[in-house]
Amino acid sequence: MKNRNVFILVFSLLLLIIFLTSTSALVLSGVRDEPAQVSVIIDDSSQARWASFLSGAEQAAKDKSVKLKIVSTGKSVNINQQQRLISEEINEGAEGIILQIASSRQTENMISDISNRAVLLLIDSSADMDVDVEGRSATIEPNNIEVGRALANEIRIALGNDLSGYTIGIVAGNKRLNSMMLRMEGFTENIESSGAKVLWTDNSLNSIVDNIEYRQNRARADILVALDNNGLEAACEYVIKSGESPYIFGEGTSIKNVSYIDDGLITSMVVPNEYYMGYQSVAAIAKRLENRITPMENETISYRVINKENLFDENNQKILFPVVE
Amino acid sequence: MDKLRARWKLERYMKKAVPRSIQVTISVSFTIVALVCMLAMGIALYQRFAVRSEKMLTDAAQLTLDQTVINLEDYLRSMRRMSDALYYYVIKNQDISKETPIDQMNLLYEAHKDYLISLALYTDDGELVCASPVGVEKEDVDVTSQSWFVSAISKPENLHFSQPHVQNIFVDDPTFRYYWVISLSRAVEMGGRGVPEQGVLLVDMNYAVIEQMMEGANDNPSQQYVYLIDNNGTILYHPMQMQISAGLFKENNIAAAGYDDGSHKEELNGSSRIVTVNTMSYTGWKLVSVIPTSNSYLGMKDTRYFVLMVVSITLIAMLILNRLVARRVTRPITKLNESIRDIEMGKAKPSVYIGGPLEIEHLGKTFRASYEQIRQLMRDMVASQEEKRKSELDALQSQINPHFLYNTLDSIVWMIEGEKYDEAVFMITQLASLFRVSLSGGKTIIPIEDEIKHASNYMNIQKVRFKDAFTIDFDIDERIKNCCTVKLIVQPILENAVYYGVKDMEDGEIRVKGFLGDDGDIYITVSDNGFGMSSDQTKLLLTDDTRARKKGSGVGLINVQRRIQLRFGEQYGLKIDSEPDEGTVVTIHLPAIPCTEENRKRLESGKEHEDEK
Repeated sequence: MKNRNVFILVFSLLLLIIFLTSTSALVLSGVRDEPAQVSVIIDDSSQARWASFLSGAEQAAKDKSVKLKIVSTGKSVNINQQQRLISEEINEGAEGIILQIASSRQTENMISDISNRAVLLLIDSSADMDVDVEGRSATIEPNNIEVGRALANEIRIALGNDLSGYTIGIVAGNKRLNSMMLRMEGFTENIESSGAKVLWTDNSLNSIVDNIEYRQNRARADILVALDNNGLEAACEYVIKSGESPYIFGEGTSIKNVSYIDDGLITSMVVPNEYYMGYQSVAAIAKRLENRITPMENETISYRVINKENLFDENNQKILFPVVE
Repeated sequence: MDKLRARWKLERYMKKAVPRSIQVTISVSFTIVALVCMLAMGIALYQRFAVRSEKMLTDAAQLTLDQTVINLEDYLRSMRRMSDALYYYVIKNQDISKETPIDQMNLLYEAHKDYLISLALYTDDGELVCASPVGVEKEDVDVTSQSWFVSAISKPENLHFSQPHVQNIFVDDPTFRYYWVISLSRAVEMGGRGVPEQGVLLVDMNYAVIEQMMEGANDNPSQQYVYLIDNNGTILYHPMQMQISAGLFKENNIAAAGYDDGSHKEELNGSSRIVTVNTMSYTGWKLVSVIPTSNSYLGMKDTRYFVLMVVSITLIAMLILNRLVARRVTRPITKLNESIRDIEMGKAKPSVYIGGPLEIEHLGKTFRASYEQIRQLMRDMVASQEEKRKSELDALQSQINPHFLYNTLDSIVWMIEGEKYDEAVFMITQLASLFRVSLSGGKTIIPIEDEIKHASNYMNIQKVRFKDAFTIDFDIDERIKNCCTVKLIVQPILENAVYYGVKDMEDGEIRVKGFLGDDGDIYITVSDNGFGMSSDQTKLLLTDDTRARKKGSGVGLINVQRRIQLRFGEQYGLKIDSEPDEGTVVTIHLPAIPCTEENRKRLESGKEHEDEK
């Protein structure tokens, strides 16, 4: 008697629970969850160079139902300003932060502080951080050493293996960034054997064109190598301004640089797959937000080498030219 | 072996876990039947629903496709018409060497500015004749190697639509703008110069227009989407174009190029989907709509929750209903069962339930009848038992009389013969008193006073017979004199005391003492200072029924014991303490029951003893 009653009671209770859950789920399914917010903090957010990256990020945000906020930033935001911006974003409800860090040095405290409060994803360049066993943050970047090497290779392909007699000026960008250091490392180790001589290296972040001009006036280099997009644009602008015609090689993504290739100013350019970087960064954060146990992992993105000949190749077109309406 | 054991264990567990009452059986069977019916119906309904919703979805997709195809065809047709107009009404008739058709081109361009990037006319060696809007040609661009030019020259009779590509002809320097276009090219014959000259007319359509149309078709929150391919399966537009080129997504476009118009089911990356294809006229482009099946009827969470809700509420309702029905059906049986349980539990006045359906009623009646019968039988049995006991008692009592009477009468005869008349009279008086008590009007239960009187009568007679060879002393508490006892229990003990104890002694002494014990019961002790006996003998006195008697009336202590116990219960009776050469003490233990008429009758019918049990 008792046995039977317990059996039926438990069974009905189970059914009742299922009924209540399904009803509430049915009611609640009408009310959509507020999507998680992911804030993107990049240098000079309105710059055209981010077009590809942001379109990837936006597509991923759409696919993964994430609210993407691109924080409006000016040029050369320093690390303290970035930290302040991030704090504001987190206070305003951002659960994920995509950060192009302003400096890779002594960022341990900042990174551990942020990754305690939100999911952090570094793009473009890694930074100093403590051991992160839990995988609360990760970096998505190109293989920067390879990018540097590729640039050196491109010079050798364009001008021959023996470069003795050639002089090189390097627009090396922010030397406090790991990515720049690694590109520099990859480039110099690969160019050394060619016999080319590095005349100058410029690490300025502002008025780069003027700095190049200054350096060129002191010691004129035959080849200009820019390790980042801004440097590459500046090198081209310098060339247009000065009327000189050095060879220009560099890393870049902006449509301006693409157009400089088209014009023949840039001999060859290394273009990382920034669309993929944008997409993956948002996707990785969304995945981590959904499942906090899975550690985040660093990822390396691919790059292409673009020159005037392959600029309009079917595959390159899609990556280089955004559709303009 | 292990398997067998496991099965046996499982069976045993199942037997324990599954209750076996009728109600549960009915309830469970009802539930199972209803569940099976519901499942069958659910599956049938689901099938219908699935088929219908699939049809609905494909119909809707077809509608969207048709609409988009109409828009696209409209757009492409207008572009073709423009190309035609430019060719047939301007280029063919105009002497190009004298006057370029730039005015007409500008006019047409302005009219179709929203849809066009540029119009251009080339000679067959790739030289620009004119273009609208006026643009600066890129220095080192060779249009003859571009695909639109090549296909126009190679098939001069056709109009050619290229794949989307970035226009690579004109310079738009200060803005760094590049345009995605679909080139509509055709070979033309340019008039003038006497001989018609070959050339290529290029209409660069704005790809963004097509993109906008397609985005419009894709503007829905579900996972279904529409993409555009050419007849080779090359993707012209795909909502996830970038993901595809970045390798994040795969499309089945090559296979789709081979599909006929209509709906097809296909598998991609392990998920099935419904693909609807619509081919556009002239271009041969195909518009493909993709509906992942997980998106539609099955995948909608709402539907799943709804199904869960319906199933659970139905089950609850079924459970309650089934229990109610089962309870109603089994109620008569349950009630009958309860009556039987009452009887089992020994309820004082059990009543057997009679009612419910005919079968149950019959069962109840039969059971009641047989129960009554059993009760009657039991009553009869008890009565006969009582009868038997009574007769046994009677027999025991009657055993006293002949020996004693014979001996006493013999003594009286001797007295009369010896002319001791006074003594004879005393003897006869005592004997008469003895018999009066002995008879007691046929009663078995008498007051202790009477019993003691009987004993003293007996002892008086014996004293005379044995010529005062011993003394007798009665000491009875007044309080117990009016309590009940079975008659004739003291006399046999005295008889034993006389015959086995003091008969052959010179100063034999028998003491009868009656008193109320500390426990409230009555104790009557008969002690003598005779020869006594060993403890072995003492034991046998109360257990061995078969011993032959040599002396006395032949009524053994065992009979006294049995009679007391039959009336008052096992806890009462005799106790014998004896030491050889010291004497014997026999203690009679009785309950203190006042000898009222009521008590007496009750005891006589033997009820007290039964109730105690």
